[in-house]
Amino acid sequence: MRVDGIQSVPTCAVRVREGMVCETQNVVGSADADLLSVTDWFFKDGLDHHHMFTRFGPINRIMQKVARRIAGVGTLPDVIPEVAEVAVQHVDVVVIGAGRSGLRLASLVAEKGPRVLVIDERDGPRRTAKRELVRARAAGVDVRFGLSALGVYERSILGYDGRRCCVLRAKSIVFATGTHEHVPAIRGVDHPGVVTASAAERLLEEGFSPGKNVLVAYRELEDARVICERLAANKVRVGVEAASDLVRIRGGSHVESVEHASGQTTETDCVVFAGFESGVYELAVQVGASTRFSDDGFWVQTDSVGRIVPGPMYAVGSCAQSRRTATDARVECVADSLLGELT
Amino acid sequence: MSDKAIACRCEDVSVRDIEDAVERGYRDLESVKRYTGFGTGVCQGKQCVAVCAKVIADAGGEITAPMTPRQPFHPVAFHLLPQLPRDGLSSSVPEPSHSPKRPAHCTASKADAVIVGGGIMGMATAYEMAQLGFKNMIVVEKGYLCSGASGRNGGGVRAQWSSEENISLMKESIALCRDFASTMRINVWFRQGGYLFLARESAGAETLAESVKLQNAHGVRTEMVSPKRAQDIVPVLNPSRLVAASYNPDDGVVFPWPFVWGYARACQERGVEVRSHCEVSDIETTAGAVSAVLTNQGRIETPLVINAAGAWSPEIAKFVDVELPTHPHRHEICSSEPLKPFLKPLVADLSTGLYFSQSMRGEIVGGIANPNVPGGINQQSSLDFLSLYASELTATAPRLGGIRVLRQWAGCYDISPDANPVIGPVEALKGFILMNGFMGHGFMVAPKMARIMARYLVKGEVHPLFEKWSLSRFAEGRLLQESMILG
Repeated sequence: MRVDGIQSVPTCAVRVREGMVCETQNVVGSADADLLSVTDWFFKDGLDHHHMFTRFGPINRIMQKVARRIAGVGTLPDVIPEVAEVAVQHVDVVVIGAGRSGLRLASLVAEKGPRVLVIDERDGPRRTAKRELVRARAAGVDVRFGLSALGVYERSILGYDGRRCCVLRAKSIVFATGTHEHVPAIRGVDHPGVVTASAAERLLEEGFSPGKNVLVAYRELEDARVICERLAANKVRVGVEAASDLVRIRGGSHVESVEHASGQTTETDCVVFAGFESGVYELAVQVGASTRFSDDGFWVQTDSVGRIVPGPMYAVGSCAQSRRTATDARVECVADSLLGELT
Repeated sequence: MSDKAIACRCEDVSVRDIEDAVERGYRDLESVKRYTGFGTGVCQGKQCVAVCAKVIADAGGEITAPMTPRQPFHPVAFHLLPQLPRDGLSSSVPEPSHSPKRPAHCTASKADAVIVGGGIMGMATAYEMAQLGFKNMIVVEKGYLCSGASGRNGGGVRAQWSSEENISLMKESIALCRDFASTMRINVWFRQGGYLFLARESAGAETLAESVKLQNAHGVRTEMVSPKRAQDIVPVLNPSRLVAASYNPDDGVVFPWPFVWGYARACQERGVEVRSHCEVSDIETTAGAVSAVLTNQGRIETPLVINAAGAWSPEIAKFVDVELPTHPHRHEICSSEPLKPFLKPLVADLSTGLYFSQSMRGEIVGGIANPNVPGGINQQSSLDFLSLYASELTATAPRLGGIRVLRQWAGCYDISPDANPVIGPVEALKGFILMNGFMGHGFMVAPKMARIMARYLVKGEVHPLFEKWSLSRFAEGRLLQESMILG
């Protein structure tokens, strides 16, 4: 959707504001009567865009004309924007990510003297990191929310606060970028009402319930514990099940039921997938980190002290280890190594 | 919403699409990404890369690493970028270190020809040779298909050049592109929207006008147009920056990846073996002739080696002590969010090397020349590029300042000292054939060049270009010219 003039915004992750203008793009029909689903009906085996209509030249050219018409979801903006200024800031250490590990590491380092800046693309602290935030600020750490890292070029970070870009020059960079959550690829998983555990938690934090009759589908049972407690505390009816038992999610404009491998169906208005995550490797890899593929996710490779490449470049927390195995002891070890390298 | 098992929501890629790609032989993550389009949408794979990796692994493919992350992490508008510092900083994304295991059928250890480089040049040559009845060929590619410049370029195909060789070759290439989809049975999304070359001062306009005369003499219908007319063709242009432009409506753009896959599939159907992730480590010679190619997948005995390795060509030539005068040069490029069609031609400015066009998917794809890049093979992305490109783009077409860049990447040109290719046999070593020095336009010349090369290798027909574009011209001081090089 287009939000306040910015196009192609995944609105499921945008906080609603008074006066916000939201417009649809490229919609044919409505959520209940999705006319584009006609293509799924016509092309039952999927639309093979590489090979369709290649038999005859003239028909191919007509197809290409049609394809070009329906391509592209955005439109060219009307206004000519001004070229914006870019601020450059020098600090000793930039920590990317203000989760528990990132903030804890920042405190430990700042308490010994170096100037530490923590940036996070979220607009405020996570519930689980509020205590660490107080400690970090007390230690003199500059914590900035709403500032995302768009790229890392050697020891310079391209930052973006939603209005302007900045460049942060650091002696050392710590990647505490956490994980991307996802939902597994089962049939009907794109129905509204299918969310990840952290999305459900965030909704609860904002005072919304993701559903009335929620099914938590976990990768491993332990993954379901926290979200189930949170949902139950908000008086939501919760069912729990292994995601591997689900074969299909049914519904129209919203989730209505799930189908099990056994053929049974269960009614539900919301499916929360818990434990499906992969480390945010993108930024660390830009300075040379390598990754490993395990537990159905990619994770940043570190050495025993959290270093990702020679020099003062580190990764801490769940981007390197997955949420359940990230430990506080590890953060202390990274802080010691980093301080040793800075002095 | 659908009843499909969607793996990538941005691009509507289902589990079945991925399984189909693996079945077709795209077994590594980068190849499946390109073939299915997963991870190329607005989220750039953040939500789907792990999901898709699992589907690929379950379908029998191999996962060694996630796809190469491209900056920016979130889309950002071009007008926020021109003021970025330009001090030569690049990313340092590691090159993939280990290659997927080979399927069992790749066992041949003897071939009548080995083509080094599975890019467009090598693949098209193998195809054209096979068409003429040449059998028993192996194409070796060190990465996945489309991992080199053939998968990284902007897909421009034009007949606007300043030398008659290039004009007539490209004219024929354009004709081949037009029929490619129906002859090769794969969509390459060729769109003839034209090329509009801008001139910002009278000297530039005169150079363009001279080339236009030459192009007209070769039957290309390029015309010089006024700033007003240029703006009619491309309404977003800033006319105050122009004195004139040249426009050929028959030039166009293609989507490069299916071009390479189309040739590769046609090669395989004709019995050519295409080995990806196969890196050459040495070339053996016996009595003044090529005798074998050594690779990480074993030794291949062969009397004929065609060096079509693009920017890696000088390294390949060194194995047989041939000094190529070409060298790699990093060229960067980027792609924006997809927009409804509004831009017909590819717009180019020779004075800065800026170019941009709108792809079939609606993205603005473009790049710019940057002389200050690290030497050697380097495919890293830089802050300088974002700054340079955004600043020229917003000056040339100010309204584009409000659209957002989705990803930046880089590839390597194979730069020749006189901007003209180096092709044909080399003296003193039998069986070593050059197809090198195609700068940044190897992609568009390949369909025609491959035909010329195949006729030479299979039928012994010597095209006059072999003399003109020979390696020996450098030693003899017969250097050539081409002024219409972009980037």
